[in-house]
Amino acid sequence: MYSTKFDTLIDEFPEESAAVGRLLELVRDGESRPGIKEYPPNRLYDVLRPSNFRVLVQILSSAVDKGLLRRSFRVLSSTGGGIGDFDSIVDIPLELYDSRMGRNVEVSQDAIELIFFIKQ
Amino acid sequence: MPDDHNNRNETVLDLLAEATSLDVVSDFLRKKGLRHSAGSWKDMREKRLVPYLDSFQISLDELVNLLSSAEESGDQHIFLFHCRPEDAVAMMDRAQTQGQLRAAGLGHLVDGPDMGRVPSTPTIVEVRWEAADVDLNMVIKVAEVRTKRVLERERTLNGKFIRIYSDKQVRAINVAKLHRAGFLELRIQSHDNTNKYDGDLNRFIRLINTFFPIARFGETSLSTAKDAMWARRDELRELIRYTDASVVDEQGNRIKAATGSDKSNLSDSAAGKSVDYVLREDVNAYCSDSNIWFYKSDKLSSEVHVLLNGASNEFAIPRKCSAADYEYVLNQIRHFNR
Amino acid sequence: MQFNSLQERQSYLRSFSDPAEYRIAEAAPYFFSAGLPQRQHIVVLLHGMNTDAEWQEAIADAIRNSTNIEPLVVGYGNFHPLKFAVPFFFRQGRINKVLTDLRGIRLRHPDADISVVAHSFGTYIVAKILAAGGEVKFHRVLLCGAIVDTDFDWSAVSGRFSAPVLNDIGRRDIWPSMAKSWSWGYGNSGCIGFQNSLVRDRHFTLAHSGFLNVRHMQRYWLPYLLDGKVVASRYSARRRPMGTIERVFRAFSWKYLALLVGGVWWAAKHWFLR
Repeated sequence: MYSTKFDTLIDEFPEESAAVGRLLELVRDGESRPGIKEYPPNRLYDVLRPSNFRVLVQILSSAVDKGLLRRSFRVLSSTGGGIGDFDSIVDIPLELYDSRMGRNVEVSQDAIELIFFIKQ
Repeated sequence: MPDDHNNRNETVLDLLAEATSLDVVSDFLRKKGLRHSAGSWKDMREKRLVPYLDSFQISLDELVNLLSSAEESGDQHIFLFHCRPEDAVAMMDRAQTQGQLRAAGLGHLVDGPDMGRVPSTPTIVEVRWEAADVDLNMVIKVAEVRTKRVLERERTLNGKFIRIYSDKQVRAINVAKLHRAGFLELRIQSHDNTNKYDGDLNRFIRLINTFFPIARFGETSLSTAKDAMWARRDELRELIRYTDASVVDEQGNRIKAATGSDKSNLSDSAAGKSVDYVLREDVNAYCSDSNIWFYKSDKLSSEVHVLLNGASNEFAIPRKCSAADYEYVLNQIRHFNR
Repeated sequence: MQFNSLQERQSYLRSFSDPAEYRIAEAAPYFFSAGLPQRQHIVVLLHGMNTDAEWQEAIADAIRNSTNIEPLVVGYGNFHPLKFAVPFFFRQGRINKVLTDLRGIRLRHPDADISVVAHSFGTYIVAKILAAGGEVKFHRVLLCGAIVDTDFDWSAVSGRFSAPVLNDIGRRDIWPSMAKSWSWGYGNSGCIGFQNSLVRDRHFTLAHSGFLNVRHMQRYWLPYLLDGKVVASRYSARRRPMGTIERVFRAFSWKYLALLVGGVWWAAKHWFLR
C-alpha cells in the first residue's frame, strides 16, 4: 500500500525521483528495525540529497500528508534533550515544564526543532 | 571642498569602527610597515589613522578598501550553495547585470558603491567583480538597518514583573559572492541574540534574486567536512582544535562533548573519544554540531573561531576577521568537504 | 519574515486559512533557505482630488522594481474642487467606484494581503469604506494629507485593518484644515493627527503633496508596508507648536462665516433694499 503512496509521491515530484527513492529506502529500512527513528531536516537533506531545501520541504510535507512520515515540533531543554513534542507550533505553550531541569521555562523560538518520524 | 574631504574621512573612520575590529586595522597598518598598536578605537583613530592620513602614509582609498573587505568578513553566518558553472558565468555577465541594476533604479551603482549608506530597507549598495583575465567572481553587497532589542531595565508594578526593552537601530552588511566555478556564498551579518537566520537569509535571497535566482542553486551540505574534520582531528592537530562536538543517532539520542574552557582542546580527551565510540557503534549516527578553532599560523593572522552548526550548508565565524583569514578558513572547510 | 517571539510567530501562523499552506509555513523556517510561502502583498495607491495623479505611476514603478509588493493604481477621475466641497450628490459615486475596484481586486486575489496608500480625498474614501462595514479589509493603511475627521472611530473598524494605521502629516499642509473649514464631512487629521492608539501620527515639514515622491516612499513608506516598521521622522521630535493665529485660522469654520455673509447679503438684497 505504501509503495502506491510512494508512486504518487514520485508522480508529484518527477524530477526528484531519486530523492523520493532514497526516502522509500529510508522508510523501509527504518520500519524493519525496532524503535522509532527520527530525523531533523538537515539529516534528511543529507540522506535524501534532493536538489535543494525548497523541494525537500514540499516532498516531506506531501509524505506527511500521505501518512508516510509523521512530524512534530520538539521543545528542547537548555541541557540538550527534548521536553515536549507538539503537532503544531501553535500548540506550544509559552511556558513549559522542563523535566530535565525540574522547573518551568519560557519557550523561545530558538529552542524549537522540527523532527520527522518514521511511522511503525 | 576641504570640508567634504574631512567629512568623507570622518565617515570612513566612523564606519571602520563599527564594521571591524582593532586587530584587523592593526594588521593592515602592520603590513604597511607602520606603527600599529592602539588600546582603543579612540587611540587608533587619533594616534594612528588620522596622522597617517594627514601625512599621506595611508590614503583614504586604502581605508575604503579596508572597510569594504572588513565589513564583509567575519561576524557572519555563511550559507553555501552551488550551481552549474555555465549558469554562474551567465549570471555574472557585466552587461546583463548593469542592465538589471538600471531597471531596478540602481543604475548609480554601475559607477561605484554607495558608501556609508544606511537605508531604512535592505538595499543593494555595491556590485563589483574581481577579475584576472576573466571575471572570477561577482559580489553583491546589501546594507540594512536592523532593530536590536536591548534590555534596559526590569521593574515590578502592581504585582507584575516588567522587562523594558529599547529598540536600537544598527547597520548590518550582507554579502553574496558568486564564483565562476558555480559556488555561491551568502554571508549574513550575525545577530547578537538568536541563531535563527532563515528570515534574514530568505529576505536576502529575495532581494538578490534578479541577479542570482535561487531556483538555479542547491544547498551545499557541509556534513562531509564535519565528519572528515572530526575523524582526522589528530592528524589536523596543528591546524584546528575542538571545544565542542555533538553526535546524534537515529533515535534522537545525542552525545555532546565540550571542554571546560574555550581555550582547551577536546581532541585527546575521553569525552572526545566517547563521540568516536557512538560513531563507531552506530552506522546511522552522525556529527551534528561542532565548535572549532583554526590556529594562528603563517597563513592565518589570528586564531579564527568557526561554528559548524545550524543548517546543513551553514557555518559561522562569530568575530570579525580579515578578508585573507576569511578566505583561508572558507577554503579549508571546502577542502574537507570534498 | 522575522518574529520577535514565539507568540508573534504563532499569531502569524494562525492567519493562514489553507491547511496545506499553513503546514508548509510552519515547517519552512526549519528548512532554512526554503523560504516561507509568501502571501501576495498588493498595495492600492489612491489619489486625491483634482489631479491626474502622476505620482501613482512613478511610485508604483519604484515599488515594483525594488520589492515583491504588487502596486495597483486605483482612481476615480478628476474630482473638481466644487464637487469636492458640496457635501452631497458627488462624493458617494467616487466611493462606490473605488469600492467596486477593491472588491474586484479581492476577487482576483482571494488570498493576498491588500494594503492601501491614500492621499487627500482618497483618505476620505478609505474611511468611508471602512465605516460602511462589509467585506473589504486592508492589511496596512497609510494616509497622507488626510481629510478624515479626527474623531473617526478607529476602534469600531479595528478588525478590518492591521494596526497601527500610519498617518503622515505635513506641517505646511493647509488643505485638510481648509477642507474642514469650508465644507462638511471632512476633518483635518492631515494637519493635527488623530491622536488615537490605533493610529501612528508622523509629522513632517511637508506641504500637501510633499509626500508623493519616490524618495519619501522608499524611506518612510516601504518599511511600513513591508514589515510594519514605522521609521521616525526627524521632524517629529523637534516640531514647533502652531502659533495662536495659525491655530485659529485653521480651526475656524469659514463655511459658517461664508453662509452668514451670504445670508446677510441675500437678506439685504431682497428685504432691506427693496
